[in-house]
Amino acid sequence: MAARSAAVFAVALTLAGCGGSQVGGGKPVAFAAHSLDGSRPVSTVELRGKPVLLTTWATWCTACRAELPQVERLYERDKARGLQVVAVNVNGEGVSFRARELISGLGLTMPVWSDPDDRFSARFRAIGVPTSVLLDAAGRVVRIWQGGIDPGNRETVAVVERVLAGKNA
Amino acid sequence: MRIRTRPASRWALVGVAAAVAAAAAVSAGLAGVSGTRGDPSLRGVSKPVVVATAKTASFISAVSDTRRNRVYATWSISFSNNPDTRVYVAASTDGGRTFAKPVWLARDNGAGQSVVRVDGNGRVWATWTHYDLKHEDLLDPKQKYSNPSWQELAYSDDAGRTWSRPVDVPADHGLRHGSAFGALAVSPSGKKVSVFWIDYLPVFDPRVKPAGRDAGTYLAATSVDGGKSFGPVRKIVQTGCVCCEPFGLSLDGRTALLFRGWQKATVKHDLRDIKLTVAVPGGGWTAPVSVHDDHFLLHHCPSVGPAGAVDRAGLLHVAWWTGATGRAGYWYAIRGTDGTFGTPVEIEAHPSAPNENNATITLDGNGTVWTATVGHGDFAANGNVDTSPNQALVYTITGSGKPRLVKAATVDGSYPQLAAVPGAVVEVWANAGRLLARRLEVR
Repeated sequence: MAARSAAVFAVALTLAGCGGSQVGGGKPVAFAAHSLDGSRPVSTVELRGKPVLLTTWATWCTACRAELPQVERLYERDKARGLQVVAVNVNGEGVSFRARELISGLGLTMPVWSDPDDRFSARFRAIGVPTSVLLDAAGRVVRIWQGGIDPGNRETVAVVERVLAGKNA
Repeated sequence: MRIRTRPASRWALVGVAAAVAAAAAVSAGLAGVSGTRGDPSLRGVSKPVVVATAKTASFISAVSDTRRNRVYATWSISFSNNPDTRVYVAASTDGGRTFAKPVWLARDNGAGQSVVRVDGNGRVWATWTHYDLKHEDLLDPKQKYSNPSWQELAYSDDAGRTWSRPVDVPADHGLRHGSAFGALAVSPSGKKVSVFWIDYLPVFDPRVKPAGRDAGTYLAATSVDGGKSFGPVRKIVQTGCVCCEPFGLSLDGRTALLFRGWQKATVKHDLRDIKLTVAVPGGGWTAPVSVHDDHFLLHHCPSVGPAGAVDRAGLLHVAWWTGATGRAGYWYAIRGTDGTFGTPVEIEAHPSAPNENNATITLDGNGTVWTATVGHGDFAANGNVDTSPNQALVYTITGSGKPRLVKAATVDGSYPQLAAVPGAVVEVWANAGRLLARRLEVR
């Protein structure tokens, strides 16, 4: 019994933090939200043609405050090479003044979308915040990082490089 | 949505609850109520009433005072052009048919994450996190989004129309005090009032090791004189989720807290299962026990916490979401009189995390369990933008232990909350910038 539990646990550990292959089944997917000020609808369909990294955050998500600057650095590093990065705010109340202060305080320059109904989680089967999703230029899900992305991770770098090279990693 | 059930061993307990519960006579008129043929627990659904226009409402919750046929809803709002945040309470004194104009609690411009409870005398209690907007960040003056904060507590003896002057909890907080995700438990007599919160200071303190920042420490202060004074702040749990709402309640005459745990599993992953701790005489708390060992592994914020309800037989009913591999979904379990939890039942396979407050549970006058969460549209990957709205999904769990989606109660919206009153379960939810409420008339 203990051995079986250990095996299940090991499988669970392996699967946690991976995923994405079943989302979309290799076909393009689309995710819609609102612009930072909530004034206009936006979607990943508009971004097709170049890879897109989406990452969720909320003001109550303490881990996001550590992750967002790292994602910003990834954005700064690779935007000229065609990587589009969007921080998706999932606060239920939308992007409030306090959320804007956080954006400002962290010095974020990447685009920020507002998703107050947290449709992101349903779309990409996210099990928490932050979750990062990499779409290829065609809008297909390449990788989902449950719990956020570590841009310095060697495997993460390899996945991003492959997508930037036009290969669906 | 598909529903899968699993064998349960403790469903006799539900039968006990049902037997103990008095059958409520439904005498109310059904004007504006649509029929619901085919839903055994549901006699009809009333037309929604607008509780509030609140485009930025979040952290919505609702409770009932069943004896007095009252419902209280509370929520937070924020603004896009200034740092203010406020909390509101709206009351219904006619079982959810109408709601009074919402009351802005304490006219506090630095308030959020409110929670409301009702004691046996009908006194309504509210706690919320107060942010000191006059002062800079807790630790880093360059940042302005983590102001000093603490809990405040107030009560109302006139069905939420007027409120007492709020008291600070703890009273001796300083400007280096950080509080978030408060919870509240009130004894039936109203004498014992416990306020819970997560200590946010270590979360932001760069001197604290990462593991210490990841784990939330739940603190509590308890009053035994009806909120006039509070005992010392107690550290009750050091392994809680820092970003998930806990749920306070009175259980077996004791104060209890349901919460999402945090336990280091590997370098990258933490166990995030639901736990229960109960106060013991002398000021201590029991070691947290798992509602179920889901083995939900995640490093960061699952966001949604558990919800609980105690039936007339004293049994605790818990609903929660887990993202555990192979069992991601919305679940339900009962804690028996021996203090152990029975085999959980999956209410709904739910592969993605519901956001803030999307767990709720209550029992109607017949002893039937009602629970709700948010559902999403059909996300078939066709490459197009999906514009289907979220749906507030309501389920009942009958004496046989099988959960059943009450299709007639499905409605567009998010953050559903349920509160039982005589003859009905009142649902409060958010949709299109409004808080709405309606009665689900119990058959």
